[in-house]
Amino acid sequence: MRIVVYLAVVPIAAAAAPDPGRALGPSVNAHYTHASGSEIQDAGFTLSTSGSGGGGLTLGYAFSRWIAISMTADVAGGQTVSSSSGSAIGTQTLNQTDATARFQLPL
Amino acid sequence: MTPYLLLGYSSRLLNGPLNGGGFGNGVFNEWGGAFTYGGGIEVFIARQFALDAAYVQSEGTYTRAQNPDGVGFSLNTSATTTSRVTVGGTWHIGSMAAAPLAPSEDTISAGQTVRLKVGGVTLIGTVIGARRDTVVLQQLVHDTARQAEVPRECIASADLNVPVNSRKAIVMRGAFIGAIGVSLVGVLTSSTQSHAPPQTGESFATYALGGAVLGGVVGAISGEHDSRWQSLRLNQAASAGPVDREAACRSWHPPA
Repeated sequence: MRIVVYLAVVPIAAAAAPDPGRALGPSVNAHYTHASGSEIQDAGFTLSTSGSGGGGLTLGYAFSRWIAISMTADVAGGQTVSSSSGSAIGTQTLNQTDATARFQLPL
Repeated sequence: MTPYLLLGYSSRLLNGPLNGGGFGNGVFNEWGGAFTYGGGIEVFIARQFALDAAYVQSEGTYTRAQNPDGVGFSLNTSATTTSRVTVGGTWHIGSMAAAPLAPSEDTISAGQTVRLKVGGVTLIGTVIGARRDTVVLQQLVHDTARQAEVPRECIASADLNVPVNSRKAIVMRGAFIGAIGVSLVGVLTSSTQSHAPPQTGESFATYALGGAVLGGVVGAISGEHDSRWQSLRLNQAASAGPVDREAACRSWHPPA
C-alpha cells in the first residue's frame, strides 16, 4: 500500500524538481524496505521468506554527477519463513549491509 | 530526476526463531556474503532533498547455520536471492554541482574571480565587465590594479574560482568517506568470519562511528585548501570571421 501511494506522488514531485541530479558530496537516506527471497536451498528443501517490511539508513558520497558510493544498513523484520512444503516454520529478521557503487544519470 | 544503477557487495544475516517443520524450537541463524545489484530513481522535491525508490537484488550463499541447540553446522547450500524494494527520502548534505547549461548560455558575470586562457597567456583576476564582445578583467599586480579588456573570441577557456574546501567541508567529507570506507572493510571482514554470525546492525554502527571520527580527524588535520576551478561557458562574439579572429587574437596581448 505504501508503494502505491509513493508512486502517485512522483509525478507531482518531478514537476516541482528544482535542481535535478545536481547533488555532490555526502547524503543521508532513510527508507522503508520490503524484502522477500529464497534464503536457504539444501538438497531436500527450500526456505523462502517474505517480509512485511522494515527500514534502513544509507550513507552516500557523490564524487561527481555520475558516480557515487553508498553504504546501506537494512533491517527487514517480520520475514515469514516457509519450507518448500509450504508450511510456515518461523518468523525471522533479515539484516543486510550493502557497500555499493552507484552509477547515475541526472536528467 | 536521476535514475541510477547499483553494484556492490553485501553481508546478509537472517536470524530468528524457528518452530516446527522438523527444526524443533530454537533460534536459526544464517549468514554470508552476497553480490548485490539493482536500480532506482531519485526525484528532487527541494534543492537538497529527494524522494528515492529502488529495487535491489542480492545473490549469495549462506555459509553457515546454527541449529536450535546452538551448535553450528554447514548446509549444502547453493546461491539464493533476496529481493528488496526500498522507498525513502535522501538529504543531500553536500554542495550542488553546476547546472547543465546549453552551449549558448553565458555563465560569466561581474564580480567573479576567473582564470582566462588567451593564446599562450593565462590571466587570473576579477571580472568587472562582461560585454557582448569583450570581458574586462581586473588584476592586482604588486598592489596595483590593472585592467585587461579581453576579446571574447580570443578566450580559449574560462574557469571560475570556487572556494569550496573550507575546514568544515573538509571535515564533513573526511567523515563520510571514512565512515563508508571503514564500513566497507567491516562488511568484507564480517562476511569472511566463520566462528560467529556478525550482528550486522551493530557492526555498521560501530564501523560508521569509528570511520566518522577517523575521517573527521584526518579532515581536520589536512586543513584548508584554497579553491578549485570550475569551467565557465562563454558566448563567442560572432562579429568576425575565423581568419579575422585568428589575426585579431594573434595581435592581442595583455596590458604590460
